[in-house]
Amino acid sequence: MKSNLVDQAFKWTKRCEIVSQFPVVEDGLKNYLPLSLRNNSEISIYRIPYYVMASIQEITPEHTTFEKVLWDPCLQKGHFENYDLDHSRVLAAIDTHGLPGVTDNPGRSLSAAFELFNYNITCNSGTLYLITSTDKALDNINAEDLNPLSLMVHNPLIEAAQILSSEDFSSSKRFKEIAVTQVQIKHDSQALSISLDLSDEELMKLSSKMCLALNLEEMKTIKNYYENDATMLMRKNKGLPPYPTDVELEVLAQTWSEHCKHKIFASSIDYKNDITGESEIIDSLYKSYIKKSTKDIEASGVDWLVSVFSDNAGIVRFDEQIDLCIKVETHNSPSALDPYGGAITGILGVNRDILGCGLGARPIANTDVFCLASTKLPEQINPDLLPAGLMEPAALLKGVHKGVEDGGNKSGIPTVNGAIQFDSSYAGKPLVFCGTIGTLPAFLPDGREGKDKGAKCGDFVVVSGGGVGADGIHGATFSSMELNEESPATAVQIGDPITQKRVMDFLLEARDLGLFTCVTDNGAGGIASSIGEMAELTGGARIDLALHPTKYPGLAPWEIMISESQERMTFAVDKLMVNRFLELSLKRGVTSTILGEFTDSGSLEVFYEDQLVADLNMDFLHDGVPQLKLQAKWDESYAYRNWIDSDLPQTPASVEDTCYHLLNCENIASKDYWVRQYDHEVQGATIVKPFSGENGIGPDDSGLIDLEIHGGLAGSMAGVACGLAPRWSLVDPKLMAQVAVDEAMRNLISCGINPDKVCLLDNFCWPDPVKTQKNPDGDYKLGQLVETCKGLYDISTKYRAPLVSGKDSMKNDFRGKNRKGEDITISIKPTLLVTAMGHGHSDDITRSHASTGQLIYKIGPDFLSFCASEMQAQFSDVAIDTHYKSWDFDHALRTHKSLHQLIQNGWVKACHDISDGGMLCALMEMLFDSSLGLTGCSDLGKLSSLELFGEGPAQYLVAIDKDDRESWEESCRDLNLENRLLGEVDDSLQIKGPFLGEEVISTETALQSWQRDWK
Amino acid sequence: MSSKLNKRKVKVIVLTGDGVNCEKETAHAFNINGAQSDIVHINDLEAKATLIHDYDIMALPGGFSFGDDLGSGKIFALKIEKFLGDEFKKFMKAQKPIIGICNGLQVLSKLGAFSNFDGRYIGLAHNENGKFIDQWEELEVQNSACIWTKGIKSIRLPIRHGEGRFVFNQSSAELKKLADQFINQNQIVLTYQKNPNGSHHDIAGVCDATGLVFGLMPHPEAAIKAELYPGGEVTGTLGSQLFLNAINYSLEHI
Repeated sequence: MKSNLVDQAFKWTKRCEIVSQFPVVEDGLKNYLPLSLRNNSEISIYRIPYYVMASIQEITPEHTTFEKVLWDPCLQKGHFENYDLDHSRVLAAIDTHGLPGVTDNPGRSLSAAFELFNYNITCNSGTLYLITSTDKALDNINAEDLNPLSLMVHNPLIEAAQILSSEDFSSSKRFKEIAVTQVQIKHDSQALSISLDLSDEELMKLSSKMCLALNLEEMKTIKNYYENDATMLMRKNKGLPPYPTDVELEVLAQTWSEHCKHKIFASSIDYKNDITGESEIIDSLYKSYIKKSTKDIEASGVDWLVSVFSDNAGIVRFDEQIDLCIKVETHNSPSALDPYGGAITGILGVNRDILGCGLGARPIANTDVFCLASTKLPEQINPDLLPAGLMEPAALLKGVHKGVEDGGNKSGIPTVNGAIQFDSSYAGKPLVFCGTIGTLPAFLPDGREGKDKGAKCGDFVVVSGGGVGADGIHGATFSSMELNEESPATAVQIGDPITQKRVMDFLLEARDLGLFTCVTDNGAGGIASSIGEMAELTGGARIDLALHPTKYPGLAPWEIMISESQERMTFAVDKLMVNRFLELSLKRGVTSTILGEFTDSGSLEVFYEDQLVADLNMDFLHDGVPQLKLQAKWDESYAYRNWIDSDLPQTPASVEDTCYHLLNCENIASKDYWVRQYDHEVQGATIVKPFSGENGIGPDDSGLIDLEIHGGLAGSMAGVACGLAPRWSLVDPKLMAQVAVDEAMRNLISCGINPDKVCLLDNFCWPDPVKTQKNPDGDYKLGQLVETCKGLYDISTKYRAPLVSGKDSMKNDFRGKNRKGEDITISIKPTLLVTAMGHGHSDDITRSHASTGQLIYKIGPDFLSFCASEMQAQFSDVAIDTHYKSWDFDHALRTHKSLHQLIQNGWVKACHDISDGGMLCALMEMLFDSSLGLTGCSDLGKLSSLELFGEGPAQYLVAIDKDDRESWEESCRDLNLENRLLGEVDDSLQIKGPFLGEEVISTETALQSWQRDWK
Repeated sequence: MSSKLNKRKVKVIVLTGDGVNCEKETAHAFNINGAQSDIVHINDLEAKATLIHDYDIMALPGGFSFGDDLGSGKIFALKIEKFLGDEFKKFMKAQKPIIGICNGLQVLSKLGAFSNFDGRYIGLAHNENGKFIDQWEELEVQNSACIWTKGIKSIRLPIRHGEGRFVFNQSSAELKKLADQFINQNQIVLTYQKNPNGSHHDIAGVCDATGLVFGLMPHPEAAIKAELYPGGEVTGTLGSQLFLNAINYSLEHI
């Protein structure tokens, strides 16, 4: 069965370096060269891809085949031996390649290409970075001076790098001494029994040594279960050891992990709020606030929910022909260790959630939100204070961005909405949110409802997509722990979007042919979770792990069971259909393997060849985890201390300079540089894109998708937007939820979405909320969580926007050493991301760019505050007010609904929501696209700083035609909608008028500030 | 015209598989203009290459076949060569229109479909800035034999690519001559008003000597109605017109 490559020597090896004749110069990388060379224009850095190839047979491929496969004769030249560059000299080089076992997509593609010509060649890829100079007299670079660059171009956790001197490069050694990376691991293929006859202390040691992330009570529950007479007898009869096998213990740990079981959201909480004097026991935040909100909304008459809280994603019906599914996930811990791998597996993972929703949904749009430390942080503080072992903030942003880019672009799914939020607390852990929307036909061709999963006893368990490896082991438990400088590298993986695309195409084809009865994705916990979950539908399953394809030999049974190796889906396939299923799979280039069958035995029986290695009672597996009992409190005395003090400047004296400063700050500045590297319109359905207007400069508020091309009704549109306000978590966590929901809602409404057809997703990312000796303020952090949940319940029920899906990530702390070796703890600010998806009609599409001759109104109540605003984050002297205490969300809701009515009536020519940076920044964004200006209306007096830069709910700017003024104002009066005419749009390139006093602000300078240089 | 209306619908084969991802909207763009499109997996042609002759038009849609590993379009082109072999050339000889959009163009280019199957002098390199770009571009239609752009003077379409820089390899006198011949034969069909990626001669699209095989980096299938344009308005020709032109050509020649 297994490959015998490991033991056999290769008889033939080659290395080929591909030099482009039209190279791309890696500009940004020069910043990591020694200071004296950075600005030398004679120096360039080039990327040279290379391949090493090996075969166990002596082969002599024809030269034409090599040339055909390896390079393009017009663009490139392949080198099998030493060569010189045409016009420049190599001063040094860095050779990087993946470590053994790390997914190597180009290597795999090259092997596939050779296979077309019937050559069986093992291929690895790598990249050579050449530092070259056209000035031939320039000195060579010392190897140690290239360390910073080397760390920018490779991640030591998954890649190796070697610095080559100029002489090394000119010798032909690397073409002669060729090593092909191979994984050589030798684990026992037996399952081991793990004794739990241990003291409390020893149990905890075991939990930590095995990376189980189980607490003492959970370890004791397992111990007691195995020591129970009935269990002992059952195990004896089946020939199992009395104590759990490693497979069983690992499966329990994955299934019971915080990541999979959401134990904190399910816990019993003893809560005291000293501000209100309330004291209560909350039995599960999830049941009390999240699920309850949706149930209450459903009871009040919202009838478009199809499936919530039971499947991989929430399913809603806005259009009678197709249902929409939506899910947002986080991938924080993997992204901290390897940003590219973490983000790409994050996006591909949430795509699989959608593929595994109902009987398989088609992904039609992605969203992404990053919360990161400022890229300038290492310049702002002593860089030695940064956490050891984590990457530079700039490298992190670059990495996670590239991961989302490749994950979305290569899968053909448009990235239509997102945000990047900067805050120094995210230096402890970056937050990477990846979301996907999918379409699910209400009915499949064979008449089954798209949402219905229907695994039957006797159906085969089939896994499709590829082999497992040692990568991606312990992802579920690792993400349930805090980071330190020794976090496990096996949790890191690289995704392969093309393999997954093949799986996706195959799955949807098989779905429409009715070839399977049930499907789910393999994410955290691998097949332990996916088969375990599906087995709940029939009451059991029996599988043989030795049948599962592996990437290389030597994996232990428990590793196969819990490996989170990517791109795999698990199916239930009727025995009568299985041949057709496997045939189609083969034809589509997808590996599918029968592992066993679903049963009604009441247990999950796992074999390795003939040996029973696990027999887990389904009830104990899924419901055996004890409820946590936690303490929470909240009062105004909670003094959050950031891990680092930052020096903020004073607010500039002029409105003009304040405006330019705000527009240039990382949170507000244009993300054009990042966003345009995402394909946001593949599938040909993106109506409102990230940037609005003819020239695509100003930002728009949400992503709007035409549903008609996806099988929906003509004119039917889905919109997606997000809101987050982590700074509020320190002041009033309840308000954090309300402000975030209001922001997401504003973003949708300002594009024309109907406020009565909006659903919400909640993604909580929290610092450890469990009070322990090393986490003394855990009870406050849990108090923040309780308050946030209460706020979310209040606002979602008020807005009648049901929560349809959510996720939480609870250990977003860094507890380890800084680069100086001192102990540090960094806890992120509690962060709730609200994603909103709504429905609208194409007649109501409203974009955010204004045109000359239009009048701009500010609408909505004066709910403004500097508290938790961008102003407060940027300047040291912004006075803290308490205006927010009087905000009324009923009033806010009336504003949203009135605006939607005015949009439907056709008055609104452009609309933009006011958020970070306040009204003046929003106004600028409406004028950027066509290089416009605005002359303030003469009867509007000078506005206060709060009116210009304050933030709050239900704030919008609206542009109308000048001729409509009277009827518009009358309509606003009829609706009782506060509206204030700011002025008329012109092409003066300035904003001026009495509302700014004597000041004149240049829209050109504003645009330059806003288009920040991110490189 | 009425006699033409009685004819059967124009049939379009839209190839997919291995990471192609614009097959649905490409088929849709043909269908809304009156054709009947089938999306066919490249692997299904391995056993039955002659299937392509059932169709009047062939489309190679955009996407990321084989993840752009080894260069965009490369392995998919090898697969076409292997699976379709001479049938592809026969399809061309039968004077049937072929379009390659983005990754499809890269595939056609690697196949040499624009250059008499000589892949040495015209190719598609990485964008000059090394980055994937998604933005809308104003395009000029040049004087050429291309049947797809007939009657169009200019058009606005989105580009979405990382390897879309048309380059001529002029490293030898022979290649230079071939490149000059390509240009002089009016095989440049579309050019950018503002060159976004460093393409030689601002090229955005090319055709073969017959004008039937057309390849372009921008995506006309993502510009089939005004709502899809940035700002929601279109002043000139819709991307849809390109598909209609080919369908009309086929109707006249069936």
